[in-house]
Amino acid sequence: MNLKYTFLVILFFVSVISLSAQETKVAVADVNYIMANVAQAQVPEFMNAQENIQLYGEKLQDDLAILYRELEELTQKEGVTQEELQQKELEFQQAQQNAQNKLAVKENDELQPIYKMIEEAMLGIISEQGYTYVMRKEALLYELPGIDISNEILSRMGITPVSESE
Amino acid sequence: MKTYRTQFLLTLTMVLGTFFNSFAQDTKIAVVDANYILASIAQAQISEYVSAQENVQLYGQKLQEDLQVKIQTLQQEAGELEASIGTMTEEAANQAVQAFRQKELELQQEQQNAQNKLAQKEAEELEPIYKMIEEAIIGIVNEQGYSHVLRKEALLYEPPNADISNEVLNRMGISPASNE
Repeated sequence: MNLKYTFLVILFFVSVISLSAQETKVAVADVNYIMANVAQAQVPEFMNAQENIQLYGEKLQDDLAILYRELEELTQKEGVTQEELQQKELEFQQAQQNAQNKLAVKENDELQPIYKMIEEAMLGIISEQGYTYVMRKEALLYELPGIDISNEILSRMGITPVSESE
Repeated sequence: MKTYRTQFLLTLTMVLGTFFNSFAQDTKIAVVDANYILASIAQAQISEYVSAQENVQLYGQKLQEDLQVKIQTLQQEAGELEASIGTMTEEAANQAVQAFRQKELELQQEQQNAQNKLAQKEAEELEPIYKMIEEAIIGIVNEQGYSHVLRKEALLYEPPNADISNEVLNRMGISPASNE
């Protein structure tokens, strides 16, 4: 009776302890590797995003070309003051900077559905396998073998990994 | 005999418990968002931060003024060179131009250096702030038995409540910035 009780106490303690030990279960994912495979697999959402980004980039480029032509015309025109010319140059530089920023924002917007797909796959694995943390691979110099879930994420997205990791 | 056995089992449980417990304590992870903390500090305008910013700004102005003087000198020299180059022999003109180019290059390097110096000054001046953040983190780590504190940017997923950034701020007496 006493022994049985003690045994139960042990069981109880061990289960409590192993529960708390499970509190940290770390996985690693390599976002660059995942994106490279998404690109290689030509996932329609990705292809679509790439196309939109490219079209947008071309449009920005066209707008800049117009500004550049205006600048060139001004350089060749007679009676233009140095100040006017500098003003136009500055405008052009700012437009270039703006275009770069806009393209980066567009890229991020367009890739959002892909990021969402990756996140959903990751969350599925997390809840099934009880991970508590997923670290970016680039943040680590060493990790335990077998904790990289990048390929699992890809499989869950229906993508067969081809591109080598790193 | 029976009591002895019970005692033995209880001791075993405790030993195992301690062992597993210390094992479990091996990894208790907290997450800190350094950008968010610095943004909150900036917003709270704490005196150490304000004075650091002021010093960095003054130093930047001084560097800028020094450079400005050198740029003006060089511009003047360019003007003089342009005026006198016609009267020089070809050899003398070449030498003068080369000497001028050298000075121009030096000025460019100095401009580059000024940027590095300013970045270094900023890091130095913010050192007390980093120290305060570090102390707050260490206090929380000691009290709550964390074994690792990770930068938030290093993570793709963390459990809710793992982020101690607001606790760090509270410990520094700072109310968190309105939006992350």
